[in-house]
Amino acid sequence: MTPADALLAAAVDAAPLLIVDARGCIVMSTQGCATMFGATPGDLQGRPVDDLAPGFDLDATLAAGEFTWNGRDGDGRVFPLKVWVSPARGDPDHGWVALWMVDISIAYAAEAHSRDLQDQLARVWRVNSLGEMAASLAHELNQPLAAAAAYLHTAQTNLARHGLPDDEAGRNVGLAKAQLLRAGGIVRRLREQLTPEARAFEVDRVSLMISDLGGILGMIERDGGVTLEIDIDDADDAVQADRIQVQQALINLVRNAVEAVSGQPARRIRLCGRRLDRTCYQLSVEDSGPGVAPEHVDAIFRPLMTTKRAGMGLGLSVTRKIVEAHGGTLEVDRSPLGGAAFRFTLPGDQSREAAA
Amino acid sequence: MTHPVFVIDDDDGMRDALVEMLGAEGITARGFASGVDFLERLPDAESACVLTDVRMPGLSGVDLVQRLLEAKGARWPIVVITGHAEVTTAVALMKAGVVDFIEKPFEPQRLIEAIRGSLKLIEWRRNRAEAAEAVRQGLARLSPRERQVFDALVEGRSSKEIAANLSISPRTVEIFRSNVMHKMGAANLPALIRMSLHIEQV
Repeated sequence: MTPADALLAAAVDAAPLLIVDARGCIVMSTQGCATMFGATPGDLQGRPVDDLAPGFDLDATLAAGEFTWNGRDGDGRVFPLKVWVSPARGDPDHGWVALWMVDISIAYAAEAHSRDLQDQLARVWRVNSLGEMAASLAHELNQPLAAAAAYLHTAQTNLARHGLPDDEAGRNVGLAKAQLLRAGGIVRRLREQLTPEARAFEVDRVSLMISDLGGILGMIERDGGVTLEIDIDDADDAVQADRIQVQQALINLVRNAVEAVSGQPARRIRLCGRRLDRTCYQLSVEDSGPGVAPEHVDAIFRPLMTTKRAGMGLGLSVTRKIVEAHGGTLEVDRSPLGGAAFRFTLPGDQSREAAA
Repeated sequence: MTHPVFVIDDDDGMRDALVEMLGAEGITARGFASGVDFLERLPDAESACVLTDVRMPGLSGVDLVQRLLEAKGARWPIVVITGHAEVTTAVALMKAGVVDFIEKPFEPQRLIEAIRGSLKLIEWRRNRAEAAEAVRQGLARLSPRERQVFDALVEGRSSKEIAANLSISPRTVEIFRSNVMHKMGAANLPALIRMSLHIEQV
């Protein structure tokens, strides 16, 4: 055997390969493939592929070129198995086919986790935005309700001054005022009911929160056609936070950044994390978009204010609520990338500070 | 005398309704559309009550309160109206020195009482300041010996004790005592003790 042949043999043996005949029986298995099924190459020889992937259909797989089956190993564990086929065309007599088999359960699990997290974020978003809507509506409605009640009170005072405190008009004015105050009470209760439940703050690591979001951030990056740099200092990143809420805040900011850079020649977004001092850790989302004009800085945080065609203008106000619930403030300034930089801080791990 | 009430609210309807309502109560009220507007055209009233909304664009109510307290201090008591009670804001405002805090929507009578209360507070603070000034002037007229007798009297010491402490005769103490009462304008010992309570602020 030449050194090159030996190397090739080793490479093939490590690869998850099966050679099967036209009836779907295993002619040969590499070590790599046998290990995946908890067997030795010798165990597998002569057995039908059906033993490894129940219901395996060689013709269907050949027609499709690749196919995903459920694999089953020696311990009975079932896992998603992706199979690529390659017929040995140079040898039509035997009708042998090479199968490349990959256990894709890890990729499946990652995808399932991303999907779960996305569902969870969507739920949190609904609760948050509903609360924000209710708060905003309560504020807007309370103004005219309180004004109307004050006007009616004035009317009562004036009627009394004209010596008509108990006449029918005065009584009706009083009743109308009471109804307005009742409406105010309804609005207030609605707001209280839709205020998100008390938040659970736990010691967590920023780097873990962000790596957890990896799948979703990757998707946003691909779909948005942007370059997302993630630069998280993970040396000392323990914080006291409600993970899903902070993730929500970050996703909101990243989504905004994607919208800000769309249509721009450079589409860069940077997600940065730095420990500022012992009591706080700063997160920032920066972009290469047009930035926020100084005269709009106040307005962008207000609920139901939006410059976008889609959306209700709740994103930044919800994000700010989350940041404030963590004792921080959401600030916006200019990024070195050219666009906006949104920054906020999370409190450090207090149990550790107390011990230090 | 009646002090003016300055109403600061960015909502036109709310502001007008408040000015009208206070007017009907015989209270002089004037509206301002924003904290910035109010600070720019700050009326030069010696004392006044300020009624302001917390959540306003531009200068927030909390910032306005801080600026006013710096500029006008206790002579301009502040009543705050908020859309919804946020505990942290409420605590910060009360600590800053706001005299009352009203959540919207409010029972109008409740707001009127808060305003009347703060207008009374102006009078009370003024009377107290005048009393303190009178005490300060009285104390300035006392000789060093008389001041020693004053301090001992308001501590509740008897003439005998004072005489022993100052090594003078009880009869001399009686003379000093009557000079102190006269110069301070105090009718009796309880009145003199009440005056001593103003000393800290003099």
